[in-house]
Amino acid sequence: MKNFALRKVFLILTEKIARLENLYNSKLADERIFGNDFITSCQRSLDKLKAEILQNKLILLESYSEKTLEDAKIQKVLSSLEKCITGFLELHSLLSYLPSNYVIPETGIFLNNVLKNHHNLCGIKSNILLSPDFLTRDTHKDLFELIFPCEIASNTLTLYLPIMESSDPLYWVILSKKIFAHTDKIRINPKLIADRLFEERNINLEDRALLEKLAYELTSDLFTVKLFGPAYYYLMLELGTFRSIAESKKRHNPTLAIREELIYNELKKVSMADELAQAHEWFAELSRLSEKLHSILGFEFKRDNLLPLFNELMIALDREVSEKLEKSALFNEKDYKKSLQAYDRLNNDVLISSSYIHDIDNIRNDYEKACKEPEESFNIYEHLNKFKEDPNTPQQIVNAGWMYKDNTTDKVFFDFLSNDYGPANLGLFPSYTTKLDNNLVKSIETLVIHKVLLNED
Amino acid sequence: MILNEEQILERMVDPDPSRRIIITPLINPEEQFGPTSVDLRLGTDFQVIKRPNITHLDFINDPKEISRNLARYTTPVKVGATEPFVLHPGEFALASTLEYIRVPLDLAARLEGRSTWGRLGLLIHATAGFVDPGFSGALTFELSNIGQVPMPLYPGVRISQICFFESKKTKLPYAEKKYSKYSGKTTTACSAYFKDPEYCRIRKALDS
Repeated sequence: MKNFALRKVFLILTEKIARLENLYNSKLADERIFGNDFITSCQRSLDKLKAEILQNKLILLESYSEKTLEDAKIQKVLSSLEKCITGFLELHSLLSYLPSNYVIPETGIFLNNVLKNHHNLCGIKSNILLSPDFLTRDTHKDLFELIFPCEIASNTLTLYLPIMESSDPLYWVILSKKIFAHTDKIRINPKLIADRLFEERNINLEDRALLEKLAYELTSDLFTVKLFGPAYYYLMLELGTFRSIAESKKRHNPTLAIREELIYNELKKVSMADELAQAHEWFAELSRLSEKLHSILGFEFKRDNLLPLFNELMIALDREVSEKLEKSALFNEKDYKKSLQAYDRLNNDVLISSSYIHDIDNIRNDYEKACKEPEESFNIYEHLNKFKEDPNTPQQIVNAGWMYKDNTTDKVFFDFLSNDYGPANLGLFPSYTTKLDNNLVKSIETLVIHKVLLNED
Repeated sequence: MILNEEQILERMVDPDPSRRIIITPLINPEEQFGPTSVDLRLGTDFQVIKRPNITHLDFINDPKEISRNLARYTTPVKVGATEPFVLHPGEFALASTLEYIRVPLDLAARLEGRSTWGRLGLLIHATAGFVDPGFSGALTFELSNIGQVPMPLYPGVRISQICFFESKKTKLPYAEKKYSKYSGKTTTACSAYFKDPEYCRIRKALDS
């Protein structure tokens, strides 16, 4: 597990860097728009990161063997990892000054339309406001405050779904959890809940403020995991591992470890954690491996004295969130099973917008039986209609996508490392996920049409 | 030999998965199956060329530059489920099928228009209606309106049909063919003419 944990975090990092590079190549390396200084800085940061990854190529390849890596090698990889994290965050902050349309193109808007048309998602009938601006809220602070008078949680649900072909790969689709904050029907005020809970306790103001801040974020997490199931767990680990470090520090937000534990426990309660056991384990292993990582990723809830209060707060929030959500909107075991079926289809690269109502083998058996009967009784439509398919839900599709990604990337990373990829070819690495992402986008898009044509919305 | 509806059905449930025709989603088979074809629907994404921005198609430039220019010269258009894409008279646009198709190695296929739409002046492909054995993905439409009035096209509408032909099992499936450019794509992709090897050679000759 030690080897896997190390590799996994490098794998996530490599994919992120490769995607940034693709974005850079397709859009940002245009001197006419961005100017020489910006391009040189981006290129330099990218080159440094790529060199760091390639330096560890041999150790990473060795990590695929059964034997646990020697300590010296582990330390080398870890120190490289720490440098990469710093470099990646620098590059990220450089890019955050760009106008949002260069970072988050039209996919967000497209998915917004999809969600508007897909009324059953989240059980919300009103328009779902979904804006690319969520990613750049620091640069649009005034606008945000105008739209969302309440405090904005930082952990928007971000799905990695590029819309175009592989030349334009970096598209962030934001399924913002703010959909809950500004929808009257399910409005919830975590601060009020925290206040109510602690009003008669003797808690100092600083601790109280800390718990209130945590309440916003964790409410958001609870909503999302209940609506999106295990996908949110995968997503949070992958995107949160690097993206939220700076934010967590700046905003005193709950650490990734608190979130991880909360979400994992939530999924265990509803028997959906089996598939996640390995991810849970590598994440824990990572925290054991390095003190520095341990501290920058914030694996622990530092204030032990607040733990009992924190647990009480969690129970209160959970109760409140569960009351606000319609049962039909929750991601349940049936959804999970359908996601697993869709995952099988993904293994064959097939679109997963829908699933067969009848089993293919049964259709064949029925057809063969009917062929042996007198021709007059044979009705071709009876057999053709058995190919009718049932549309999946976006949640089922997204879950299947994350399961697939989690189960296949390790092998893809091995192939990537084994082949003679030079730094120039790093951009080829995420092409497999681009393909997957395209499949997921197309699937979501198709299921909406499917539902309209069935006239069952 | 062209496959009839029963033969298509048999190939969709073939015990050997590699011999199966896959067409998904089949939203309403009763509406979609014909005697020798299956109707296919229009998807939601389109590529339109921004004519005012383009002086000519550059075949010789550096492929990276062409790729960047293509993104600048074409507009991807997404339409929602009940939103039309309006194709004006004389206009050309790329689109794709809503369905994902997989053609087994011993079949070839042809994409054709439907007469209902042909009567209104809609062409669904300019020249490339042939589908190779081993193809998988969404098929591309090369739409043009040769009628006199603008045509609102809604996603999910059956504008085309696919028919299948038997052949001997190929040893050169589309996905494995050298220089195949569109295999496995599920979205509408622009022409990748600049990736054709002859242009590389011409570029090389020009450079030397």
